[in-house]
Amino acid sequence: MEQQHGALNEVNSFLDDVTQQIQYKPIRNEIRKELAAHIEDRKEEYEHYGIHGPEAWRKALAAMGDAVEVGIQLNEIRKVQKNSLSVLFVIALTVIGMIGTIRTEVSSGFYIRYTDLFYFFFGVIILLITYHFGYQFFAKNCKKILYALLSVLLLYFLFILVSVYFENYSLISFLNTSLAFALRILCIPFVVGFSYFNRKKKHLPILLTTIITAFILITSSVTFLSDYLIAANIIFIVTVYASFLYMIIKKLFGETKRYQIITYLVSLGVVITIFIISLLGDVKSEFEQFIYPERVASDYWDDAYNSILIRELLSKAEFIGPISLSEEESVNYLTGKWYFDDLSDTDIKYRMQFASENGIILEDILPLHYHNNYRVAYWILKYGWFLFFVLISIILTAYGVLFRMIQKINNNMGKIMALSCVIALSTQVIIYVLGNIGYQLGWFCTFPFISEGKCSITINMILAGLACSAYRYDKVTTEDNYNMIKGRRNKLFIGTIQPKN
Amino acid sequence: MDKKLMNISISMMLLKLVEEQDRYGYELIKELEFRSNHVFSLKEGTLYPVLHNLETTGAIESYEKTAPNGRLRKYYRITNTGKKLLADKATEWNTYQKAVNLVIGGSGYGTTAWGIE
Repeated sequence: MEQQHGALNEVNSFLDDVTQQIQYKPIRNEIRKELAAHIEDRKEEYEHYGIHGPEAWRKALAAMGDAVEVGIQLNEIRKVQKNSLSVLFVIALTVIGMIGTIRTEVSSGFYIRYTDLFYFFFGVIILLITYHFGYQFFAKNCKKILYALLSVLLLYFLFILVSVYFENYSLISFLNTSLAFALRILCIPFVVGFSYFNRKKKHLPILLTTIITAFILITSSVTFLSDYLIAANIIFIVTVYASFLYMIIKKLFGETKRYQIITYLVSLGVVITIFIISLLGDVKSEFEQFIYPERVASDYWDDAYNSILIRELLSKAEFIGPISLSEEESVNYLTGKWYFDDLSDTDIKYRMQFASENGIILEDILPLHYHNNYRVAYWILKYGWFLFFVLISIILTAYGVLFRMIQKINNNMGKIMALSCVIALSTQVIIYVLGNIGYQLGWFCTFPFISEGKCSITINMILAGLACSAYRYDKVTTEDNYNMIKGRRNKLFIGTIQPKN
Repeated sequence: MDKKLMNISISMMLLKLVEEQDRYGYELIKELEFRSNHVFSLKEGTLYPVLHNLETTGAIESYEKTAPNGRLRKYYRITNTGKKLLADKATEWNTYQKAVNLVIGGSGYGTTAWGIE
């Protein structure tokens, strides 16, 4: 009996030696169980050949080889991967955003608002936290987080409905509309993850995706939200359906590819129809504002006019250096006289109030909130097209690094989630840059990591952190074993191998 | 057999074995020994780094299943990536085998090691 006990301790000691080499502790249990089962199988075979008791255990153990060597080899394969380059690029974009904020506030004669800068620092902290813990949290809580986000969106929608019903619009002013935008974007990886987790349930993934997307669209089809959330809804549809298509192409669903494509197209058709209906009859004008703003521009406060003005000013921008405008041109652009023939003297006087004391400057001419909504256009006009090309090169490199990182992820769950995050980020960049060259889609979109705003920075940092985190934990979270990292520690020892006394 | 050459071929053989049916670690070792006339009789612990490497590269995936004797085992199955990898490796291996045989004048060139072309 004592010999048997000693042999079991040797087995446990072997398993300890192997698992102690594994740096990422949550997978130690998984490896321990697998090796223990193997040793037990081998021991049983020896028993079959008439070798019993401690000798069977010891022979089974001897067949395993050197514990430390096995552990080191396993650790080399199953280790957390550092991903400094992607994280550094995201931080570099954030620094560009911070510098842009400081320069804009200084150039405009404003004082520097430290709260604006605080959110950039806060964003970097969020990025690092999500990078270190995001993927495990996502894998464990994807469903719960999605339900929570959808519940918040529903409450938000109901609150607006009640406010509209009682015609109490002051209630709506309490709501942060940026939050509605950000929540939609934040839902994306969780919707995609939820579909992935249900991928083996035949019709369920596409059905769930359709229902959730429809829900997102319907909850934005009320008063001002329908216009304000166009960009968010487009980003949502593009990202979720692009990720879904990727899953079909990679044959991650049980059904045949042809069947999946048909159901996918039907779902996309339903969603696009709901999206068009959710615009409450403004489809034509939204399209015209995007492509032909001159058809819908009615006054100088109009977003369509802003696009026209931006296109006009950009056509005069220098390659290097600030735009140069004559005094007459400056007056015309400030008042809107260059475009609107029928402006009254009152209109002109009113607009001239926006001129600086020492003469009209670029910042007076640009649309309101240019420092955030037209950040790229402002930089082109202020410093020239060269800066734009430098900025675009940095952004393309940063997103290239992120997409390359996704390409290297082997774990399908991590890959899909990371892909959805990076598509959501890059779609925002495209919509923002288009808006800044005079092609504005709906209301304003955020410029990930570069434009200011607490919701924008926080949400986009979470997306970037999640994507980088999926790469970080790629080698330790394998396909179908995401529940392994839930820390099931109740079966440290299986079968006949018992803990040491 | 040369250890380096053996390590390269073990991944391919493991892929072939899990392509035939889902298998667990111990079963793979036994099958490998049996089918290779005990030529591939490796230290059993060293199987797992190879298996985990195949898993992290997406060639195989694992799931847990309770065996008839009540023991919880980790089974491995091949993925589409793994099937493609196996086909590529088999082609490479056949080319290599043919080339070696051409040089040393062996009689078996042109045959495939695992019946895959």
